Amino acid sequence: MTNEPSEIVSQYYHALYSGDLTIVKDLMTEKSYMMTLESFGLGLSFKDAVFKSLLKEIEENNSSLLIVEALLSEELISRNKAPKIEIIKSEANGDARQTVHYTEDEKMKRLYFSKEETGWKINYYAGRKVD
Amino acid sequence: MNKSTSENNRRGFLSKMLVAGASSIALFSSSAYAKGSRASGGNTTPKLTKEQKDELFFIYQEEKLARDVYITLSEEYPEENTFASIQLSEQRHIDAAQGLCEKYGIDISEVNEDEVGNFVLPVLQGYYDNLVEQGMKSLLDALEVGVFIEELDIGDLTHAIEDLGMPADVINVYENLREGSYNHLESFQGAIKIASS
Repeated sequence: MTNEPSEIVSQYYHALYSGDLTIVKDLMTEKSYMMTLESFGLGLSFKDAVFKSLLKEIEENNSSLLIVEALLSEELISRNKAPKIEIIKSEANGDARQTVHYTEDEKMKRLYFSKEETGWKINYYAGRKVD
Repeated sequence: MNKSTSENNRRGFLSKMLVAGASSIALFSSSAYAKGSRASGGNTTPKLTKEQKDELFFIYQEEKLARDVYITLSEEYPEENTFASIQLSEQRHIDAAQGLCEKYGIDISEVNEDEVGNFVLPVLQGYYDNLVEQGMKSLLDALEVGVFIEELDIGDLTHAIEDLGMPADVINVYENLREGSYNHLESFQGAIKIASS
C-alpha cells in the first residue's frame, strides 16, 4: 500500500465504522491494531463477560482474536457512526514518521504514523518527536 | 519478528496475574516513588533506543488517562473516597513518568496535562470515553472501571520493565509505579467488596 498518511486517516475511520477490521488491521502496526480492538471493545466487554475474557487473550490466542473481531465488527456497524474527518495538516517527524492533524466531528485529533516495510502505518507509539 | 514477539508479550503478565489472583499483592507506601527518584540520580544518563523512548512517552500519556478518569468519577461519586485518594497518587505517577521523559530528552510539550478528559490520540480518547461512560452507570461499575485501569497499567508497565531492556533507573521508577498500581488495584477490589455487600 502506497497511500500517504493523510489519506489513511479517512480510510481508517471509514473502515472502522463499516466494521471492516481487515482493512483497519492493514492500516496499522500490529501493536496499535491490538490496542484499537481493546479500546473500541471496551464498551462491549463491560456488558459481556465472555467477550471481556476473549478480549484479554487476543494477543496470545488467534481463535479468540477472530471471535473478538467478528463481534466487534458487528458492534461497530451498529453504532451507525460516520464522523466528519477534515485533514488540517501533515507534519513530518524525521524521515520515517508523520503526524496528521485533523478534526473528528470538529474535535482536534492527531494520528501518528511510522514508515514500515509495507508503507505508512498508523502507530500510536510514533508520536514522540524524534531528533 | 523479535519486535512482534515483544509486542505480543505486552499483556502477558496481566493474563498470568488474573489467573493467579491478586489477593497476595503487597501494599506499598507512596514513599516508593521517592525511592525511584533517588536511584536515578548521579550517574551518566544511558542512551535509550527509539522503541524505549516511544514507550516512555506513551506511558506518560497513559498515566494521564488514569488520573483523568478518576478525577471525573470522583466528581460523580464524591462519597467514594477511593477515587479522590487514588487520583492524587496518579498525579505522582504522571510526575514520575514526566521526570523520566525530561531526563531522556523526550519532548512532551504537545500533551496538555491540565486538560482533563481530552486526548489528542484517538485510542486514548476512546479509552477515556468508554471508561467514563461505563463508570457513570453506578458506583459499582465505576469501581470496576478502576480495576480495569489498574490492570491495564500493570500489564503495560510490566511489558516496559521486562521486555524492552530498559536501563536500571527507568525500571526502578516503573517498578515503583507498578507497585502503586497494585496498591490501587487492591483498594478498588476492597471498595467493590464493601459496595456490593
